Amino acid sequence: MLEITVKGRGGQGAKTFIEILARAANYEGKFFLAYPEFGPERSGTPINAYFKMDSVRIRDREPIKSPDIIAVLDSSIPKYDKEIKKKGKVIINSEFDKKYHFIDATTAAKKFGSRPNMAILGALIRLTGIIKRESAERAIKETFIGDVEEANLNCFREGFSKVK
Amino acid sequence: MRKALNGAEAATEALRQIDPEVFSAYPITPVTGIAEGLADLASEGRTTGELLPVESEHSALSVCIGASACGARTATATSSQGLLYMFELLGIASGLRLPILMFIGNRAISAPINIHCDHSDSMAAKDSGWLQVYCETAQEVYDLSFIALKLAESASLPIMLCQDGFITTHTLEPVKIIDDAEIKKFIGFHKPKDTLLNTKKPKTMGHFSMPDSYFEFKEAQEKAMSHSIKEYSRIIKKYSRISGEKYPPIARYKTSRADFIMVSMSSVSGIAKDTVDELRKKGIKVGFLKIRLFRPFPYKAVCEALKNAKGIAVLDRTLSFGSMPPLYSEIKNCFMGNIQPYVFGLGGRDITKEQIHEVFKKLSKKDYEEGTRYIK
Repeated sequence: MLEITVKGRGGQGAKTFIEILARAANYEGKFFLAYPEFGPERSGTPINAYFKMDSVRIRDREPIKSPDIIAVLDSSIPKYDKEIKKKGKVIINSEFDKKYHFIDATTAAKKFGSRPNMAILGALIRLTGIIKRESAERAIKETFIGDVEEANLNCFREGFSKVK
Repeated sequence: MRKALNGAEAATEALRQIDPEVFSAYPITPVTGIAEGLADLASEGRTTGELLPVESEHSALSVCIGASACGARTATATSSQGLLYMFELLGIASGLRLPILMFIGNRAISAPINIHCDHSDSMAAKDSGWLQVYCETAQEVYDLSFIALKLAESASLPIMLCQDGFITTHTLEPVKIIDDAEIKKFIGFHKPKDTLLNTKKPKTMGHFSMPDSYFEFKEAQEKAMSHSIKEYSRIIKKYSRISGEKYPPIARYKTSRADFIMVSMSSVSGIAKDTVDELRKKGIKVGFLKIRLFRPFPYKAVCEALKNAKGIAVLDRTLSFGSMPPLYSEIKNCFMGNIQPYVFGLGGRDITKEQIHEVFKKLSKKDYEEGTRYIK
């Protein structure tokens, strides 16, 4: 089973991130569970969202303790070193980093009128290949309409092409 | 077709296909998604039923009762405080024998305020005369919606279809959707025997009933409730022909020849089964029993599943203050020996000394029977 934890702050789109992954995984006939960790639900407070994927039906609805991939939407979120599995991948929202994969998702979001989640999602798809790019883009198109769809697709593609 | 849906969306999808003539609800976390989803569908012209937003849960269920009494297929959704606010109407819906479909996102009761899952809300309503079914996954929510509707209509009793708040209502998972035409054929039309609007056969509903008749109403209700176990089995058999899924009243997971069996309900079943697999790999003979149909409680099947276990653990997601938790109590009920349940005095019916003599006489003759006896 593949496990992803998305770390962000309320409003940055951690929940939407896993919803798009879920729809994309569904197109590919995979089994998955996608759920956010609901707390006080305030804008700006730290939030985790979880995504699990497998070739068989998943029964375990526990929070993910040790993910294969961590996607960090906000550079101010601390403490993810101890969680990540050995050989796991961490993707962070940053202009530069020596240790982790990074993409300046905040700038990308501002450039296209989107949110940081889209650029990080693009980066994740590029780096891990867990689902096809086409499936992710189709899920984005299914989730949004009009200008927002366009902005999010562009931001996703920016993350896909510019991740380091 | 397979869709990525959470439990609330699975309920909405089922409601789209059922297309009840009247849906009335007041939004409450964690089932707001159901009413919202239906409102979206209605605005897109994808449903034909009346969608009635009201000012409270009390009114929502009142609307359903009125509409159902007039013969309409009706549904609602609520949770926690919302269900408690409906409480006054619960007995009216079941007493009038109205097959209302109610979705519940199980949530803790205030105070202190909490929006997350436990079963205190629907368990508080377990004796209100409503059928109750508990779902583990969004897939179950979807499939059991149709089964619940048919069960309610065949038994002329309202039904609560429960799923765990957030854990199920807000988790996206793959849900296999059945064709609209197949569902339409399965659910058919709702043709109640008696309705308020049938001028050719005028009826009074919810009239005054004195001690000379009230007991018989309640006995008939209980009869309908206990008979619905058979109906449930018939309906799931029919449903499995279109879905391939089987939804027995209890789901046994590696319980045959298990030394130790855990019993529980709803979403915890997933990790319970995973744990059973882990222990079985180590050679420890354990099993898990999931209770799906809680009202009526399938005593015979549960007893059969548990009778050879060396030890049984029952996991309840609610307290019964000052008593034992509800699921535990039901499991204990499966293993009663020389103790006979009687019900007496409903609606002011007198009980006589002669009848009490009779109770003792039967005890001394070891005259027990399965199920409840009535002293009328």
